[in-house]
Amino acid sequence: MSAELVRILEGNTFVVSDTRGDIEASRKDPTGLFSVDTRFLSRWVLTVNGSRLNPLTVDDVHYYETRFFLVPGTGTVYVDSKLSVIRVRTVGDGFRESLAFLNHEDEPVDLDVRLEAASDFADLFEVKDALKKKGRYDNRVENGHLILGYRRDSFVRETWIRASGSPDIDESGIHFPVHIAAHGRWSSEIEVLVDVGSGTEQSDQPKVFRANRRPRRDPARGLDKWLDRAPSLECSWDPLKRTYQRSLVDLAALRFSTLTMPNHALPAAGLPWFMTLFGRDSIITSLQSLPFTPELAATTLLALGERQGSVIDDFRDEDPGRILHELRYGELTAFEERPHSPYYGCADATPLYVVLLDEYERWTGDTKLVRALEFEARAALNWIDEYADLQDNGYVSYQRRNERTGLENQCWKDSWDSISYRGGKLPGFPRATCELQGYAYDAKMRGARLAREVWRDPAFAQRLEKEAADLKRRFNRDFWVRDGEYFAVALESDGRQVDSLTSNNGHLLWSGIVDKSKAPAVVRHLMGPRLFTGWGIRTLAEGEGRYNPIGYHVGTVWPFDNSFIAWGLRRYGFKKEAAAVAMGILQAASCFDGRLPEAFGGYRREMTQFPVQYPTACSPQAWSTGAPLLLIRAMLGLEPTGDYLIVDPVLPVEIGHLELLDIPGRWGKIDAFGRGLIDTSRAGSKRRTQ
Amino acid sequence: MALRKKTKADAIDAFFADISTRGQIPVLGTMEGRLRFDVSGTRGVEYWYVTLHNGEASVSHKNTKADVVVRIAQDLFGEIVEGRKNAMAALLRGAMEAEGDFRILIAFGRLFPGRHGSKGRVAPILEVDQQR
Repeated sequence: MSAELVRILEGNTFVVSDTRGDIEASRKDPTGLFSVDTRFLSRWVLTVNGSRLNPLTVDDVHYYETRFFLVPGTGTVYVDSKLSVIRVRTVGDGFRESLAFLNHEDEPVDLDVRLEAASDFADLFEVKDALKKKGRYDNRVENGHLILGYRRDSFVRETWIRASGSPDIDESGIHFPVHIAAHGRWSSEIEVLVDVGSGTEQSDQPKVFRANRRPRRDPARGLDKWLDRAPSLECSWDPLKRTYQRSLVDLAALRFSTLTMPNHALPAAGLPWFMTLFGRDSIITSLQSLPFTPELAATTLLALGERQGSVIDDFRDEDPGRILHELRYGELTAFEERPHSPYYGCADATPLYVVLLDEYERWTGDTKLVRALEFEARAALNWIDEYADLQDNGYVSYQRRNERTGLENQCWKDSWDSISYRGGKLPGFPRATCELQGYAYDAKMRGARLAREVWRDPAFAQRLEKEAADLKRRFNRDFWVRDGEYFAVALESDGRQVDSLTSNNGHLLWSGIVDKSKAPAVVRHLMGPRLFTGWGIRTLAEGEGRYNPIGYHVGTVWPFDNSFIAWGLRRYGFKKEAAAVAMGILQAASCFDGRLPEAFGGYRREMTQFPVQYPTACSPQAWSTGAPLLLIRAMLGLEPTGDYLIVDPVLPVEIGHLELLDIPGRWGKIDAFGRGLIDTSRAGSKRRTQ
Repeated sequence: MALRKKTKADAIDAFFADISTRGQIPVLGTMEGRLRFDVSGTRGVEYWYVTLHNGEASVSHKNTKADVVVRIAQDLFGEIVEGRKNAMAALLRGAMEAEGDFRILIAFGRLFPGRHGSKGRVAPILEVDQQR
């Protein structure tokens, strides 16, 4: 079961094993050594005299290193071993494993130690489906290496394994005849390298992707420097300190480099299965972490700009100016059986790209980057009007053109039943979800600011502002559900309102598209009992046809969603409400030891006392990792204005004293202080009659 | 003159002729650099040199230093310039090899057409299956 799996990673290379350190991949246990979206080891099993070992403890030293303490013997609760085994595994371009055996007896001992190795070279997309491979396997022993190989036409993936101490190597593993003196010790260093060798060249060295070929940095020093550079947080409420520290470390683990920028990092979406560039997730996480680690935003903007769509391609759902959804390097992508080279089916990343570019400049003053990305930003703004208006009604909507392997739902709530009418009926396609209109509005407003202040094009700025004002006016008319006083989640292509009440209303506040006069009603809904659980705001309101407190996008609470809603509440002046949302999510975080899951159950807080985790494949998830950072920003009211940083703290009383020191930005470094004065304990508990 | 079927070599010639006569190509952005394509076919290896400068692409067979070198079979390259195969996918499966500055290659990749037959729109779907 996944709860017992051990995961370590570095870049997009990661190892998932059981608590013995063994890998035995099956459909149920997707274990293995993975790199460039391919499994390079599906079997890695250590035996002593033909028997498996038992785990005593597992020590997750760092995100890239684990220590397994093991003893021989099975089937008994008593451990009285004369032998200890320690496996220390460190991930790099593959992994290194230090294997040590300690003999506690007064006599020497002879052991048969064996490491079984095999690989199915599954594409990450295939791991759970166990598809039949189209290529052939080629395992061999060469130059003291065990080489596991897979070849399909010119596509070659190989795993190179070698061990110190001249062991016997055969095509299925490594055998060590071990003799240990009384109270002695034996050890071996094992190296496993992943290779993307070419079909045409013979080489006696494994060849790795350029992104991996960077000079090996010392991950420990890298992590210390990373933590040192981030602002330091002091607070009289310990859980917040722990959550903040956890977020920074997890963010470091989620750093990912692309082929073209091996020395720069951006946030990947989630660990381990989403360690790649995602438009939406990388942008959202960059927005959340801007006040703390602005360099992530810069790399995200450059990497996504590089791969911006340039042509119409129905297989990849690509259009000129569109920002990508997901980039993958595996076999299915390589043979165009999946469209991820990259895939563009995502309707929000493109406007959010412009939003991030502007927010980045407001914090850092880096006008050089804004000038360098002028073409990309203009192309993104052009996409909104030219390619995204699929209903021909002036709204951004989505519908996949790749009907076999494309994504049906191209907004953040991407599950099949996430967008529904009150009664539960699902709308057709194209769908214009409401938050997309908010993002488009915000992109135009922010694009206008950049056009005026950086690109020196006041005519373009004026045009964008006019379009934004027009969009806002139409939106407040067409999406407003009169009998409920909130915004519909979407418009059908025939103009009908998809009228369920959802958390998307909070994103609309963040984008600023909501008429001021409508904001109080929207906030009443967000903080009311149908949406607010006490921990946070549900994706779909209680009482709607498809509501389910443990349904993926139909009732659970998403920390990332709530962090943007808190920011939105601040934008419209609802500071106490923002503090209440922040406090609920941060208290939930303390129940998860500082690491927020992607989502948790939408049960009322007084019913469960504890937030109920929604089972997800990835932890940490990047935008959940970023959520506490954005919540801290929202509570402190940090807002860059010109060359200054405005600090306007409104904090829950439990937090007590809060200081955030050395916040980087165009002002150099600045400190922010706040004191908790707001009682948020009763937020959402007041029942309103509908 | 007898009509003959358009070959992959013709498609490649046409592609390079097109990009070198387009003048300003906005999708190139501010990218500057030189690429060399070693296209191997029945007639041996043909070398194409492309310079990206001031938003324009110029093409020649004259030997110059390149920032990124691409090796590819003529048939595959022909399919890429016709939108029947994708360059990035070819790179991932080792059918196209590149050495040097990948940023220049990726910027240049914007000049390849999208998948053959792409329309940009599909018919709306009015009803959605309510159960899964």
